[in-house]
Amino acid sequence: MRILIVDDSSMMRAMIKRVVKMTRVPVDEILEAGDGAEALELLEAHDVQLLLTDINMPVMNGADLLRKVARSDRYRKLTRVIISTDGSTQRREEAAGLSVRCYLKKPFSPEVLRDVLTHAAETVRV
Amino acid sequence: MSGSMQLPAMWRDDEQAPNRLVIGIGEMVVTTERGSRISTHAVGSCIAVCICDPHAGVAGMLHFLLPEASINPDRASAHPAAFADTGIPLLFQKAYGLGLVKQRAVVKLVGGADMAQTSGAFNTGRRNLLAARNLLWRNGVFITAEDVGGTGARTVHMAVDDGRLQVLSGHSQKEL
Amino acid sequence: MTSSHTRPKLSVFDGAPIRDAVSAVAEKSFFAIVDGCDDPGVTTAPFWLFAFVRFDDGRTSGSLACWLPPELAQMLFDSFSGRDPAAPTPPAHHVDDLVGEFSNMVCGDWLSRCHGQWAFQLSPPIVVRAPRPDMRSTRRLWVKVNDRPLAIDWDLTAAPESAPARR
Repeated sequence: MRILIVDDSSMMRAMIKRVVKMTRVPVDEILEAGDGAEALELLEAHDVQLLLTDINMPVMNGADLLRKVARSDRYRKLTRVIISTDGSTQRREEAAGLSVRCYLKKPFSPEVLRDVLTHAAETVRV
Repeated sequence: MSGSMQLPAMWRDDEQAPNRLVIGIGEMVVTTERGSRISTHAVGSCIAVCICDPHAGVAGMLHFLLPEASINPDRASAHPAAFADTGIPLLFQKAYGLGLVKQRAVVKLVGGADMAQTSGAFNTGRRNLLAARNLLWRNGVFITAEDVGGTGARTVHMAVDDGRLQVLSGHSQKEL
Repeated sequence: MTSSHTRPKLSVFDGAPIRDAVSAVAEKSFFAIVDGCDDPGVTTAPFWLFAFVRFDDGRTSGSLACWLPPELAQMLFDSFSGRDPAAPTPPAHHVDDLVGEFSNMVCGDWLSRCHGQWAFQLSPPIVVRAPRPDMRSTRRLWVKVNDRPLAIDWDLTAAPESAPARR
């Protein structure tokens, strides 16, 4: 499985990566992007199965990234997870309409992220 | 727990119970003795850190009292198990020495009660719990289960074979 | 689940929801405990890290800023990343990134507590170093995080009730 982590904080990406490596989720490669535009380029160039994205980011935010992903048939098998400080009802409803599998609100403990990753990985269709 | 309730043999608090290892406050034990159990009492604001690798048949328990050895270096050097930052690494080192593998480790935390019910500056239970979580994260270990917080002291029994816990507090009991 | 009727208000006067947000962030992601702070001791740190975030939910906009002494920033870095404190010191830009993310999470948690129905936008955090916290701020909350001082400043610009929500 190939995972793409999208967050404008390099430390948040590193923390998520550390949790991924601590889990028993089988991972071949972890890619990173600092915003939605970078993420789209990586999605174009690589066969990614699991997308973990923040919402509030410069250049292109996570909501716009997910809208573009939802419009393309190419990504219909991509499992999508939001990891964001925005826990609002409006954002969660929007996420549900964009085929987001899990919504994890920051702050979170490593164990909660482990559970989300394990659940999301079970839905990945390689 | 009702006084008339019959507990499984593993948990029975009597002389017929299987091999028992009892640790006190500020103590720890690691064992490979199959069929035995580890117990500790009076886990209030302290934390019982319970680890087990069922595949390797290794289990251990630490009953630490305070988060940081720097609070009392002399005591820490004589009793490293009394502090989270000296006791937790020691617990894992001993368990690794007996064959525990980090990736298989089942790790459970019990305790961290607010015994003074202050929730204020001296909330030792909360500080202990956060210190334990911090040390486990730093060492790349996930927590499998917790029974923490509240305001009452707990008794913990751990089955060495599979790491199952029985936690008693007042009139309640639960399995973790 | 908290209903909109029981939510605290997003207020320039009420620091309690901000303190709750700091506690939630400090405990969950940084394994740190938050207490009240009577004496922040602003003169003892060689410099302070200042992290500033703007927000806008289409109805209300404003800002939140955190002031941290370097010792607290380093401690939060170690807790979040799992770094061994005995390991070589991390580059300053990594610590800055982490302080920005901390402020981002505090702001987001505060907004989610008070305005839980509306999605919001956060600006990328700006992190700079300053000799000491700007004492001109009128809306400031001091707390201690693992016994180290932290100041949070906040401000609101309320939009008219009739203003259309922006997405």
